[in-house]
Amino acid sequence: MKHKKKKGGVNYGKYGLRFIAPFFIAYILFSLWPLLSTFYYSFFEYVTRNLHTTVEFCSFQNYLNVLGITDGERAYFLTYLGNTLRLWILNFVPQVLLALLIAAWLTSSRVRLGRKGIYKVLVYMPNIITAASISLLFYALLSKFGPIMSTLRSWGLISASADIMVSKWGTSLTISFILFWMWYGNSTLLLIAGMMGINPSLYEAADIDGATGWQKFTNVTLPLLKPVLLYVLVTSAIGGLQLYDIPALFNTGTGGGLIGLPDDTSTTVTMYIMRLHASDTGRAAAVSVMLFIITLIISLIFFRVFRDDKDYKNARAAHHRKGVGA
Amino acid sequence: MNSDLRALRRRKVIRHIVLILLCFLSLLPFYLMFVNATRTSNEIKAGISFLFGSNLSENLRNFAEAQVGLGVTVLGAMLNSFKIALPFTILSVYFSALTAYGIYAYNFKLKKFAWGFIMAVMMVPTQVFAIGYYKFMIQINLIDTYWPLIIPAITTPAVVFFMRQYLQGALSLEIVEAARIDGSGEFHTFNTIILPLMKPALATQAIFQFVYCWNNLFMPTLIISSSAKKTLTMFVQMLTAESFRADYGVVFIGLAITILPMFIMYFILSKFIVEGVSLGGVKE
Amino acid sequence: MKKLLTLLLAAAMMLCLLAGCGSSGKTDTTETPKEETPATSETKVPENTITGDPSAKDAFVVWGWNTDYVTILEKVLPKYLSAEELARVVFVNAGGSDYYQDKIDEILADPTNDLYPDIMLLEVGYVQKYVQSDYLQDVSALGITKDDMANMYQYNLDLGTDVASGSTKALFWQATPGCIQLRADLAEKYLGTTDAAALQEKLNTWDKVAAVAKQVNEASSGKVKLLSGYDDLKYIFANGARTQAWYDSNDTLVVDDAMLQYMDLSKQLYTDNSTFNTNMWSPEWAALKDGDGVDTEACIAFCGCPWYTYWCLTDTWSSNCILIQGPQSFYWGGTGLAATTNCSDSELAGKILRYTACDDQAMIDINSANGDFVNNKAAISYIEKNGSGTTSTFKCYNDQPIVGFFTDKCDGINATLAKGEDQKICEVLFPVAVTSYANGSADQKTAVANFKASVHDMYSYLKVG
Repeated sequence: MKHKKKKGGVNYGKYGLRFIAPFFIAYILFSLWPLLSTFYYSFFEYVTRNLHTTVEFCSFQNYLNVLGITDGERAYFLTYLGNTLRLWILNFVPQVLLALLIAAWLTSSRVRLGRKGIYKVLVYMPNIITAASISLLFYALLSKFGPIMSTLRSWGLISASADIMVSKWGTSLTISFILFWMWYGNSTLLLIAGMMGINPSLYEAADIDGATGWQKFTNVTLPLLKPVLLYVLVTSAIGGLQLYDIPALFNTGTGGGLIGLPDDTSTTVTMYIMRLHASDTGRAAAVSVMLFIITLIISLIFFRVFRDDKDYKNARAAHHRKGVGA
Repeated sequence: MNSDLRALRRRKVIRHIVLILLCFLSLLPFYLMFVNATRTSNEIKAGISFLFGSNLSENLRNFAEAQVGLGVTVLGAMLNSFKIALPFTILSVYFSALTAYGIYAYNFKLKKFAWGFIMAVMMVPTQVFAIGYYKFMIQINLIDTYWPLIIPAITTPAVVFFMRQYLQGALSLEIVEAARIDGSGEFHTFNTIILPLMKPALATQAIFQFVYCWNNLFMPTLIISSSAKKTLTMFVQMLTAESFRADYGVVFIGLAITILPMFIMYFILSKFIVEGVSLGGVKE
Repeated sequence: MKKLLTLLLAAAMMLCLLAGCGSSGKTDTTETPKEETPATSETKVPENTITGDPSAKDAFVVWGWNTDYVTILEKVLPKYLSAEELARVVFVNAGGSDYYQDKIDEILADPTNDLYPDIMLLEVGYVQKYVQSDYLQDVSALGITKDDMANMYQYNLDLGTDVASGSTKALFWQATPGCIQLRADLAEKYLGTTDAAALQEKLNTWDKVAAVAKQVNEASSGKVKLLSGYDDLKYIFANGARTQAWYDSNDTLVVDDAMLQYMDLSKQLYTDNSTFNTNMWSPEWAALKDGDGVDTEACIAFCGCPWYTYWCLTDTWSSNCILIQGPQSFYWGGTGLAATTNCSDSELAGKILRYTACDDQAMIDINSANGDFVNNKAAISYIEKNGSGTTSTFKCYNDQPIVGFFTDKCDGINATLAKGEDQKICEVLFPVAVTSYANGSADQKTAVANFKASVHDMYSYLKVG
């Protein structure tokens, strides 16, 4: 760590403010203000009929409506949150397990593998490709008369009427697989970085104690990897809550309703926001606010755990995993 | 000892096989896409093939025909995406570096608060304030322009975070002191001395910001409505339109074209990208 | 090594792409003369969606969602409007029907916007939303009289009229009576005849349709089916068989008996495995048009209407298509236009409406320009007798006359049930209910309840009841 130069601080402090001013001005204008106004909009009922819009203050009615608490209203927010979580969990669990395995393999000092570079490059690749295109690509490959299904049909492996797109679990598992496929490489790289950061002397000490590979993994690697794992979990969860590109293009209804087929079971929260944004600002805002609150809770837990963690210093959160993550 | 070695070798082989399979899994969908882009709709319908077909030019011609009437061609959409992603990237890395430097190199009253704030908002996804943002852009008449997609680049907390970490490791304040003694102004020092020093960090982050912006679908969908202004991801969305759905060959060639820029970019820059991901994750 | 290979692959694709761009560029020039369909006039449209200068003081802005109207602007209106008038027209192409409404609604609220439409195009699925709003002008304000509209088909006139006030605001130039198109080769093989009247006799009730569908499936061991999906039938029931609107005068949602019948039929077709269960406009659905029925799956019948017959059937269907009415008359799609309240020039708007939707000769010209089955009885009977030199080259089996077939198919159509929400309800929300009932994931009562809840979620003023 460098020590701060006190003498520069007094004279030049104002420059610090000037340097950070653009960021904060822009943040207040283009993030904070929209966030506050989203809160504001969520308390109004917007009804647009034949292009005539009425706006009325309705306190928490929008929230009660999308939570299904009002009589006669469906809890669409909870339904879509459930869909989102289903898609996320189905991808995250295998993703992190596989990432741990590969990361352990690629950092193993006992079984040294060659060509690590190429492996890393190729498992990470899907992460960088336009998610929208990937979603459509999988749809085209896996749709009923697409090449993969046709081949499976002609080999007699699936029945003539088998169709992923009409099955809730078929569609969910496929979307989750795409997410898994796109993101396990990213998690692998993060975990590798974490494992490389572990002091080798710890492993040497374990070796002296006669620990097996598995014991070293569970007793040394995993505990020390906790901050990184937590980081992977939290960024993935926050990214997963915003899940949009893939479900919005994979097996959705025509006509622009952003309905995740079949039977509305692959519609996510952000698709709901997008569906409502033009017609019902109030409800879209209420859904956004609830999404914000959930995100906030997750990040608070994250920071709390980190603050308590001795290894906090080791865990430096990353950055580019924003936007459409999972 | 000998059996130990053998066991070790067997494990090595198994691991290599699994990893090679995973690499194939990464490439397979793209390979099938390129193959199917060269086949006729009926051939594709008949099943998988690993051999290239002979219908590429016909598919391209059909694709060119199908994209007429969308109001934007795929190349036009790529250009649009580029027009957004390039300034986005530049603004993002420049202002993030500026902010990070401001916080790192100076002492001032609100410094702690500012840094805490940046840390706190790092996790806030844009989607949660998209409604307010959308309404705000309508109010200030910027809806259906590229500005709302570019300006937020000034505020990318995660990049600021990364830049500050980098500065901590790479910049000694003595250099700044020396520049001051030479009479260099603060902004001048930043632009001529600090920025060049940060090149590796700028480059890494530039790649990720470019990719992020290029691949973004949610915000452009919200902001852009004129078809001529549509971005590449919005074009991909239009690939689900009636005119493309008629022919599998056209769908695949369309996807191949939309994927190609990122595909090529990745294989040129993969070394930096993979390093960047690892760097970003946990830095000692 | 692998990296090198992939790089090579990528480079190869890039080359092909570039070569393709060259050849696609060529398409415009080499193909235009020999293939004289409206599609070629479309290829001439610049990729910029706004043709003309919207910031010009006297700009006259017309909004649409594709290039169909450009054909009329370029090929028909020059005969009737002066060059100065036409030069003022700015055409804004929203580039897709899915988001057209969202886009135009934004602009309609802002008459000062350069792109504020003077005339907007409208589709039957949502025309009532605009007709019942204050954003469109009554056509009488534009100088269009009852006489001018006398030759229109009644159902189309109803679609553009506000029932409550009796004021007509939107005029249609297309008439879109529905039909069922049968593939002659497959009909011969599986239905035993190619005679239109005999086929109609075989398929004139839903019970017969279900029975024939089952029999075709069994006869072909599932390779060929009568219908691609039960989804195809939604317009027939929604735009033909319904006797009640989607909601009553108290804004309470109503699911008409015809729609319940449609759900039951869908369930039967699903249970019998009689269709491929595709959704309309999906790639699977489109792919089934060209199957050979031996190696690749195919289906015999697609629902259609004039624009579909002319433009959406593939080469497989050329001289291989038989038109029949089927169990029910209905309408499917159709584009009209209307002048907005703040339209900058009612005189020009009146002229454009007149020569797009009223004038007999202009309507014949439209047919000859793009093959549209026009919304004008006099023009249609003229075209039926004399032809119009239409550019469409599509032929039915044994030269079954297409215009002649559709001439009387508008007669039984009732469009007075149309509502502004029809498109979203019929195309987006109801199919979800139909599918969930058909595949057994919900019973009918639950499916209907889910449907009503979803409509209420989208249009909060409509009550579940």
